[in-house]
Amino acid sequence: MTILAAASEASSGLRILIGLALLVTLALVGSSRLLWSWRRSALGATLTTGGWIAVGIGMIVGPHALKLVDAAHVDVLRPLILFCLGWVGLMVGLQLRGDIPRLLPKHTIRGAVIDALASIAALGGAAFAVLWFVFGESSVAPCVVLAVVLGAAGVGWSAETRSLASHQPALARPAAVLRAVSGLASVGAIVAFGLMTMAIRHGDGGALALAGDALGLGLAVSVVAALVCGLLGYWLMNLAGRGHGEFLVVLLGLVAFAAGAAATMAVSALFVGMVVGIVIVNLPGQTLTRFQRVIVDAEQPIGMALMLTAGVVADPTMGWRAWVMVGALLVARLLVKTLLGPKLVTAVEPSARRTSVMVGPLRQAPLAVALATAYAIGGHEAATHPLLPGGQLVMIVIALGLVSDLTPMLSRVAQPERWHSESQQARAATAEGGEA
Amino acid sequence: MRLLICWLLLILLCFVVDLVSDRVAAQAALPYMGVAMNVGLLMLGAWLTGLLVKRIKLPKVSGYLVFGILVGPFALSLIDRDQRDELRFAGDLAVSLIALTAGGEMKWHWLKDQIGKLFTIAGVMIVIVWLVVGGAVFAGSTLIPFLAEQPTAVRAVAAVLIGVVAAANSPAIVMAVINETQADGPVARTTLAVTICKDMAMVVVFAATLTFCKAFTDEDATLSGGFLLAVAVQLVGSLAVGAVMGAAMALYVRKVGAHLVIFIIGSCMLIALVGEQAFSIAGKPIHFEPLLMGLAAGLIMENLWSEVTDPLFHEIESLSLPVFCLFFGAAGAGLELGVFGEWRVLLVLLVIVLLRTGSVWASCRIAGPMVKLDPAWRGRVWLGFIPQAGVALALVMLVKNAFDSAPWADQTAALLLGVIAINMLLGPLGFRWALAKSGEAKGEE
Repeated sequence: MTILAAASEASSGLRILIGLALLVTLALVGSSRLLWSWRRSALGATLTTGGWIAVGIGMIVGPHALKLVDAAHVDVLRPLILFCLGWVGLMVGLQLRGDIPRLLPKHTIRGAVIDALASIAALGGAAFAVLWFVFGESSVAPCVVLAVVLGAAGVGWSAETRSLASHQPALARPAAVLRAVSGLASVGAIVAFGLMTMAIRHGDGGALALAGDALGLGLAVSVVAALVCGLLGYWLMNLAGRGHGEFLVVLLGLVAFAAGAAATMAVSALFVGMVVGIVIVNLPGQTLTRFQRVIVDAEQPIGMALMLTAGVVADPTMGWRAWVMVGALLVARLLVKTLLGPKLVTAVEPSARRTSVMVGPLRQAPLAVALATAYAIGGHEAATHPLLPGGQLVMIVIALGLVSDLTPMLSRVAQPERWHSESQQARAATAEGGEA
Repeated sequence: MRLLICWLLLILLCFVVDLVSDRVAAQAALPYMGVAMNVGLLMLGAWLTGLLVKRIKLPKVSGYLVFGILVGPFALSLIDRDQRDELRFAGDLAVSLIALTAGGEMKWHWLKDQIGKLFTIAGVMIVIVWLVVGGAVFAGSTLIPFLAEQPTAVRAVAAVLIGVVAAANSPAIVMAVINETQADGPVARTTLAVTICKDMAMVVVFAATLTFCKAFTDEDATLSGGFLLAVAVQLVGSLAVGAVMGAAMALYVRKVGAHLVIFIIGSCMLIALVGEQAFSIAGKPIHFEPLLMGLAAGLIMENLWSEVTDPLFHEIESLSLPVFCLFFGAAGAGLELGVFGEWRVLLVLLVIVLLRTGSVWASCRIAGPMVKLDPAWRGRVWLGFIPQAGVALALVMLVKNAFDSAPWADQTAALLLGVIAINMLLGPLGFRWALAKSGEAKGEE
């Protein structure tokens, strides 16, 4: 009996198992050591770090190709997807230590704030314009919701810098700045997305509406729940002591509980997870550092699971209007990132102006796909709104990410001499370092 | 004090979330939306309750169960009946993990020497418990409210089925208590091994009993050679599939070796998934037993590739705690406690529990000298066979389904669930005491 046949006949509990088994298997294959050597090549790094292989697999097994996984499976996978989103939020939150303003250069923090605001304004503005003029939507609320989600997805950039030849000593600092700004900007993206999902309200006659009181209540309950979860998590981690099993109970239970509570209250699991992370990391003690390996080790499979889900959820049959949206967002992204990126890079290393690191900010952050997936599976009325259903929004973000990720590759094809010389310099520097 | 505050905070937070979710009923009603939160609640809450009850010298596993009951539909209702069904995957996962762990505990050279003894104890116990409990139920069936009006054939069938379910016990609880107390010694090893042998024997005994009972009450059902073939395929097939899975897992550890925690969860899901698939042999439906598959996989890995799979078993050990918390929490929430509301049924239930306990004790007294168990500890080993949980619950569901939920079958099932609830709650206490008294429980020091 095939998995598909089994799934169709199975009970609800078993359907969860089928979906989980499928996702976990694919996530493991995608993140196994067997693919490590291939990942060291530029194309390999771009495709695997961006998660595009997992997205591709998701699309192949999804309802628009082999139909091995359909919407019903996504339903039963919701707990796992929520868990992954909560985990992503927690990881972002854990970066936000209170001493960051002291440790990081001011221009890095300023860069992250400017990028978040500019991206939401420019990409959100472009999305709003396309929805209003090309899609012909006359109601403001759905346009605002989609514009903010797409704007938030445009915040930051990929933190992967290996494929940009950043192992050159001269490019190490600019690459580190790009990674730091990307990490900080992701907080802005999650906040914008979280606030938007809280503000959505089902209006009269099924219309989509935005409400200040819903936003206020959503924000209050999210923050309170996250604060309590964070405090609880901190105490429980101390109670767990040095036991590995105990720590797993606390970590898995806490993430599942926080993400599940967020979903039950119809607020963002990413946002709540992030606030939980911020609370835990800013309370005194070294509890977390002992277990960093577990947290970091899970990053890849969790990312892969989310990318696979995005591939399954994505609707590639979207019409020409949606492709216009992709084009508009791409142009807006190019504008914002080419204005901001060089400033950040040259601020720390003026000689990096004409190097491959400059194309780094063009590439979309993987968090964008997580945000789009969260939107599509969140169960908000907006996700099924006919203007741009969740599946199409995910597809737009995937298309945008893929095109923007291939930019460095295109740059390599267009200017092979520069990349070749950079690689040679890097090798020479490595060799010198070795001899020394 | 902080433990109690954390516990109360968790419960309070659940109520607040429930209260807020009423505001957004449409979203909350989405399928599986509540599963993630319930998984987190059971994991954290059960673990905390385990720590709390440990302070009053009770086994942690009892705490996990109590927490499940407390948040389940019969107390605080934080987890309702529908949500409880959505948590069934926790049981499927746990059985596979427990079986893997149990298989990993079995050293081939020890097993080879003991296998005859183990099956003798298991066999004697099944026969005695079955005869005593089944016989007593049949003798007193005219006094049992829901059987009194039934024809003799139905009363006999109900008695046989109650007897056979009473013979089952719980590898999960045995494993959890051994794990908790870090016990290592003859009592722990013998109890675990006999429980597993008993489980293997129960596959045959229960399948035969059910077919026999159906043949007795239904003219279409027959007992044939095909039945024996089907049971044999189920048993041997489960072990063979498990062995192949074990070899594949060892290969993964050797070749890939990364993300072991996630790999273990995936493997357990696969075992549970294969176990759910139905096949047909000689016209008889069969399925592979997750418990036997996991056992064979663990046994193969531990005895053939122990050096390679050591890190895997280490991670399995780490994962045991979260899985036990979730599994026993969900099991507690899944208990049907309605039967305790009717005093006449409650009385019958208590009599069955006492008879079962007495017959388990008696069977160990008889089988112990037969297989020359060491007199120094054989008097305590019976306490490990009192707990009942997942296997017995599964058998009850099979009884219920086999008779198309006939009223007498439903009520028999409810009665058995009550018996299981008591054995589930009290069993771990006795077993932990036995381990402590035998000096095998390191965690108790």
